[in-house]
Amino acid sequence: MTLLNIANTQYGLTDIETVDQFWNGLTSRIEDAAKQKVNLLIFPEYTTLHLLSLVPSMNYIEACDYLDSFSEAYEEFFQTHSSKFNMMILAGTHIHKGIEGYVNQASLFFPDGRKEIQNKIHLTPEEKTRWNLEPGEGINIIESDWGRLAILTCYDIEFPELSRIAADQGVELILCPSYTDTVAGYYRVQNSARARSIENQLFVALSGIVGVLEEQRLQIDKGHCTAGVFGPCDYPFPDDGIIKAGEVDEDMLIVAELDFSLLRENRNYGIVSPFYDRRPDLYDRERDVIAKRHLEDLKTV
Amino acid sequence: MTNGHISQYETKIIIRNIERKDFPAIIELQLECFPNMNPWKIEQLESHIRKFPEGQICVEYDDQIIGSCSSLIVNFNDYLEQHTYSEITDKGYITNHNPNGQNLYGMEVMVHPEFRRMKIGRRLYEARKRLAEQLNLRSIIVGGRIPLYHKYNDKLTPREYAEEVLQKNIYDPVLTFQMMNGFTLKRIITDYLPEDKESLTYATLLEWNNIEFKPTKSKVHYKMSFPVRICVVQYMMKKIESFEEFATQCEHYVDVASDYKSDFVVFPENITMQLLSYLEERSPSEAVRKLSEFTPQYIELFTELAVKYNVNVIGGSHFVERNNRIYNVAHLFRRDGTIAQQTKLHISPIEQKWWGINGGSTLEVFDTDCGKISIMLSNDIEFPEISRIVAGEGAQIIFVPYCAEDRQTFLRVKYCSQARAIENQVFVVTAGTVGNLTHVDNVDIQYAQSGIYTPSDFSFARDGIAGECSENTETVFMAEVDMEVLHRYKQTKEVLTIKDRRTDIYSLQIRS
Repeated sequence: MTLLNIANTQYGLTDIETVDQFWNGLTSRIEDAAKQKVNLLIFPEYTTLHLLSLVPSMNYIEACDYLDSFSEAYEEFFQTHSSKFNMMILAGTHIHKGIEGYVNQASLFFPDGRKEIQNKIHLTPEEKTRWNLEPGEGINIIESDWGRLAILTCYDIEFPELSRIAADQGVELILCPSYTDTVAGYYRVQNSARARSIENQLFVALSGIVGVLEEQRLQIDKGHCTAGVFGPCDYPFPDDGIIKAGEVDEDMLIVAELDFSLLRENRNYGIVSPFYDRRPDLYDRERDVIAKRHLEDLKTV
Repeated sequence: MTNGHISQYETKIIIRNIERKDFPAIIELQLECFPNMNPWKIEQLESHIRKFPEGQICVEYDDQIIGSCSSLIVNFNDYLEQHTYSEITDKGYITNHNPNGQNLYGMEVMVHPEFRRMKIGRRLYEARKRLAEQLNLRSIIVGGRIPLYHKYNDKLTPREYAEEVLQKNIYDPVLTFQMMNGFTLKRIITDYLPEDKESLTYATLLEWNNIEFKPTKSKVHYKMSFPVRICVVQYMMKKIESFEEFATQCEHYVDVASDYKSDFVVFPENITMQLLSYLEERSPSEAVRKLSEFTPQYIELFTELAVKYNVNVIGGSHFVERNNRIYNVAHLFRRDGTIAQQTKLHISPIEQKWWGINGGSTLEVFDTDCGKISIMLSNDIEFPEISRIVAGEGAQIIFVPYCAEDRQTFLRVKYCSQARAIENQVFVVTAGTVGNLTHVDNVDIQYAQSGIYTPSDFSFARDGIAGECSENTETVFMAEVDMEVLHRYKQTKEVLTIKDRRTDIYSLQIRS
């Protein structure tokens, strides 16, 4: 299959008063996607943090426990809905108890009951020191009917090394659930996502959180982003590489049709092919030269 | 001794802060002490005690003001080493007084001529030192006149004169006194006080270190600012008739950059291809060889411009022949006359196919008077690996001269430049060619919007764009990037892509 109907959410932080309202909000987005014949729906990083607005302000330890209490319901909800609507759903990320400690984990649910997970690898300082999360230790290369996928959560997309590794293993679509609460943060993620697409000649799908909560919470209160799908800025794609993008800070779904055969066309007939024209021998050699120079500097000191 | 009471012999030396009622006495004192100079205006004295009352000290003796000294607090690093008295005192108004600064700067000390030899000057200096200790300041810095230098200037340089004073072979009323008070000579400065004929406008910069100073963990420990001004040239590829015409155009832009005191002027990739518009060589492989014959002229031209206009020139790129092979080579012409080269590493299919260009084999980081830089020609910036290497080696600015035939090629360069700035916490500067060279195959159309990009975070523009040219017009654009802001950002800011890298995972994955 080469045509994938993909939907990215710009998830609005609406005011909710009950847990049911939270799940209903998710359901209505899934239904909306189903109406548009979406095969893969992507929720943003920290989707379940919306639940923090139902309870009084908590510290980070309390928040971890509270969020973890929804883990079973979360699992069941998305598995059921994935099967019911015959749709792959990346259920955003959910902070919950992992094997060693709490993790920021993305879960991709398949209609047949399969679930693929990806822990966030590069933790932000807030996640390291306040949330006290455990980082992920590898990239899960996910097989799908449309080809290979990888999930790089928010900050992970800012490190070109990870996307390279994924692309080298045949990944053609990177899913990037994100949460950015500043304009600068959003630009970091968006500019990085676009570059990843150009460098590796693949698609990057970005989802995020928008809106403002009425009451402030330590962990989440407002979001800023435009979600979308980016491709390489080269033939046969739009010249700015934007296959589809949302309206700034609107609560909305952005649906796009991705044609993987076009990606192959790009890799064969694009003006440039940065993914294939790499010179790893040169990088290794120059890295060595510099490392040796450092050693010599140390000796002379 | 009529009634034997001691009080009639008693006098009292009072050291205290200057008050408004003292102003007339201070001005009178100044006229006594420095008859050749303009005394303070009332507004200036008013400003002193409003800005920094503790720093304005006088000596009262028998109800008469017989000495005074004035100071302000600065971060000395914020000023040029060769500052003038007027700059560092803000024309005598000390509106630049910085309560969070680290250095007490001495503006003036005066003692009434009739009351010398009473150690009044020493008492004032002691008061200043106590003030520096109280306020936990790193040091006291004073710019001292050398009023007797005019008697020796035919035989001695200012530095030799200072040395003779230090050796006590010459007595200088100011410098000798300052040295006696524990101040050490930092350097000689010129044009300090333009009206100071006695010192021939020279001055000595002296410092007294407060050994009690306790450093606190705060931002002010950094040098506050190191602005680097960059001028990007969005160069129009129009038809010309001779190399001289090319040289004239280039000189024009270097001149413009220099007028605005730029530290760097950046030309685009393939700039010498403009010469093809009069060389009338249709075969691309012959054309590049013809171009490479201009290498000496090209290098001579830009070396001369860099020195003549005192600006570092990123001279775009030029085709160079080495061992019968052609390379696309970027040149850095430093303003001290030295030259460095970065050969393009990743050759685009078009360059390979039409021009027969070869890829270079080494990656360089260059030292300049504005920090470490690297140059990546056009699609070299699309490979994140090499930016990582140069950033690891300390490069703070990556220059990207490019030549893009269409919008998508341009946008690849732009988006990748923006991402490099974010990933590696560096500044990225792009400069592209515009216009249509209708007489030359394969460089016939161009698309550019040159710009200066930064990391996107609180210390910078939130979208990471310091500035951009308008698209596809012949123009220049100038902006300043601050190396100290970048340095501070890397030291202190929260989200740090360079520090947070997981090299353990990258290598692990590659091996498997």
